[in-house]
Amino acid sequence: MSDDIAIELRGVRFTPDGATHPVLDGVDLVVRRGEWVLVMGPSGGGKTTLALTMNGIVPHLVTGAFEGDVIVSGRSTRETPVASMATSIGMVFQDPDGQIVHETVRDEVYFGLENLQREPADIVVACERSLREVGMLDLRDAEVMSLSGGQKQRVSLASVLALGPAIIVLDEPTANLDPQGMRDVFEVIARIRRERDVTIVMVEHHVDELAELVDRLIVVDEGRIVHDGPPAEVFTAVAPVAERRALWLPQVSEIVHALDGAKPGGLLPISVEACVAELDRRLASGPAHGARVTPVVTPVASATNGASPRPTASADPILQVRNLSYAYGTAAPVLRDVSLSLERGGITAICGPNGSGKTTLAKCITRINAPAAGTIFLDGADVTKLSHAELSSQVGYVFQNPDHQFVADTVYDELAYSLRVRKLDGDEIRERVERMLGLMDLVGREEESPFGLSVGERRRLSVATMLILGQKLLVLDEPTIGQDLARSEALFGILDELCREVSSTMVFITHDMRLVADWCQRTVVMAEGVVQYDGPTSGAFVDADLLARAHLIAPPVIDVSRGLRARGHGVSDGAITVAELRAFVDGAVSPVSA
Amino acid sequence: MARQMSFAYRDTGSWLNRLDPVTKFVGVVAFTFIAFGTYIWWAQVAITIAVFLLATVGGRMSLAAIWRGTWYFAVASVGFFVVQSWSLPGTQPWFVFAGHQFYADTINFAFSLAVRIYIIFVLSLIFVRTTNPRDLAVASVQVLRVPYRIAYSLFVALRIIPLIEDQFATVRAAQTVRGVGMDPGFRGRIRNSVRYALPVLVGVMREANVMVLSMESRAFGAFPTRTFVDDVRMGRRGVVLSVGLIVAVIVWYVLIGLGVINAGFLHNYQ
Repeated sequence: MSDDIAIELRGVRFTPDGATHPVLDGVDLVVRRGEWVLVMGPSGGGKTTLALTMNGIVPHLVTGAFEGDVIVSGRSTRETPVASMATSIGMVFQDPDGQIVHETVRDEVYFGLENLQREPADIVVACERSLREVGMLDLRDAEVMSLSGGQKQRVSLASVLALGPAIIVLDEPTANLDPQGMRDVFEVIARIRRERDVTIVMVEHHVDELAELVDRLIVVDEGRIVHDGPPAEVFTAVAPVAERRALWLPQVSEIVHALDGAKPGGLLPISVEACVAELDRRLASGPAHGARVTPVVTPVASATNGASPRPTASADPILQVRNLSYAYGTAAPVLRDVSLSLERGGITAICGPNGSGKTTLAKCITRINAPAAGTIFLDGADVTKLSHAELSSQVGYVFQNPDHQFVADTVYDELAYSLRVRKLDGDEIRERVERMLGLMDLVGREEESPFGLSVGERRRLSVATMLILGQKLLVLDEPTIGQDLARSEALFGILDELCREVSSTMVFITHDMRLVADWCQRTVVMAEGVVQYDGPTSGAFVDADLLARAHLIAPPVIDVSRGLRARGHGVSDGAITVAELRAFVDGAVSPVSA
Repeated sequence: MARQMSFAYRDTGSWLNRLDPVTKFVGVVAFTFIAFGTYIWWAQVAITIAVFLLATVGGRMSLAAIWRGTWYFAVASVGFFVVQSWSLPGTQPWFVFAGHQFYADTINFAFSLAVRIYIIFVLSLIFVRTTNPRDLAVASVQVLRVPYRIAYSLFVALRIIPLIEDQFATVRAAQTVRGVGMDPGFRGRIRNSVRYALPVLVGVMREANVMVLSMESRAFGAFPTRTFVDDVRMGRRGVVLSVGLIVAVIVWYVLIGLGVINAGFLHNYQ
């Protein structure tokens, strides 16, 4: 093995115990020292398993039939226990809470160094160094569980860095983080890579932020590496089949691809600057330079003084929340004087930083939490006056963790459960269940245990168990975490259809700004327990102060629009989706519009 | 923002927070032995008062916090008391209620049994709330010479207790939204609880699995021994307290053995 090689996989094939098909199916891969490799692919394609082979968790701790070899820094993972690999390769997992072992930040970082029998004085020095590198030194005595998700992931990274590994593997480290927390983690990793010259292998869906940072992109599907190369080349190659392969493209690549793709022999852009330059070139060559301007949408309510703005007036709201406050026990209030009103129909997003009160608000609406002050009216009825049976017939709530809501032994019974409780006719139950199985791509899985499904399938099933009742209001808490593009888009397609079909109103708690821009007509932004903004989605993305306050990052299409305006094109700041920007460019270059 | 768990460590700067884990463990065992040594109602009341004073004064725990953490055990203890009082035969008739003869010695026995069951859980709550799991692991290795892999098994168990509590509360809420809480009556509640069990178990297993992977990935178990940055020693105060508690247990049992204190055993109890 060459000194230049950090990780080498030779013919790796792995079938976990109890599985009938291999999760990895003949993977050959060489990662060179100092490379930053991004691993992408559809849900269930084998990305996480590939990452777990790299320090020997597969096959030592996640067992099954394993063939082939994984050589890391010259050592075979087959012959080396996981614990002995720690100084060669570090691992950061997806779940910010689950991987935390100790109560305080410094104890968490000490842990690995103590296991390696380092001297206490050296441990303290190494701990301080790694915490400084991730920007957490000032919080070394803090309780880990009191930190935000992004801070927890930085602590996990510090605890790995302290061991001095030459390779760091990260498995969707930002899946549960707000956009700013995610960007902070990526910036820290980029800086560490520059300063320490470590090799990074990262499984991620967030391509907008990573496309420019990484050296190499690998696409894994059905247990095989199907694309491998520099990001721009791979994105250009997969763009025509991205939907079929369920891949997220960077939005800047998607914009150009949506027009008519890259120039022959050229590459799709992966940066905002390159995208603006490409669109500017096309617009400049068109007959109607900046001719079509999409309507400018302005926010109807934006609070900049920390107080909740007055809710949007609605003649017949489905939900009215007035002056709601809530605190867990004796802790500081999580919700402070929250007021909002939701009109019937449509999809509304609730966004904001981790800990801003989004989930707590949802739990108050569904009466899981009893508010200390304020009122909530659902379709004109005070929710505190409704029985749980009445309330659950009118409002559904899909929890972040799908497992929490499962009550039956099979997928079919899971879907039928709520209908049977409500004593619906057998034929109607069968009809509704079969329709939902089809909508959620779960046909053929009817007799399987809900807990035996993949993460993505469990999430779709949990959403289906709520959608099947057809309630007036449905609240979904981060339903697309860890989902690939196709699944996320398909879910929103279904939600949108249901909104129209049965006049349901959807409330969607999320950190995914692209989905918000694409699907949500209205956005509520929360920070520090207060509603900071409540209005059209486009309005939230043009308010830089609001975005900073709420740890949000607008989708790249906003920056592209801004870049085009700076070059004299008349694109509106209401263009927040690829389709809207495409409509502008098409209109500007089309002879008809001229 | 998460809810505050009852069975989770909290540093309030209390006297018990500052006391080393080994001495606290000796205290829990000593109180348990003393409570188990007698079936006299007044002795159990006295022990209960002492334990609550320890929690509120020594551990800065509010009565509400103690209740939140132990109410289900309190309910179970009351149920246990009622069943035992009703069903066990006695020798000293006391009163008749609903046509059933109750005996003074039976009620004394059932009361003592129920209270001491409850007290064990209150002591456990005090220990968990005031002991940093890491300090317990370190003290087990440094003071009791327990191999660190075993000490950390205890540590992981303590870390998982609040996780179970959190998962249970979340699953109950999630299933209430689905209408699971709609099964009425006592049997319905039992059915509902059985439905909570699998998701709670699956959730805890998944989280515990991630923790184990995280520990092994950071060299846990790479060597037969490990170093510790912090020392957790008993100190003179801990040694004196522990010896005092052990002596108190011995004296208590000697007095019972000599007949100075009536153990209050129920003669007909098998």
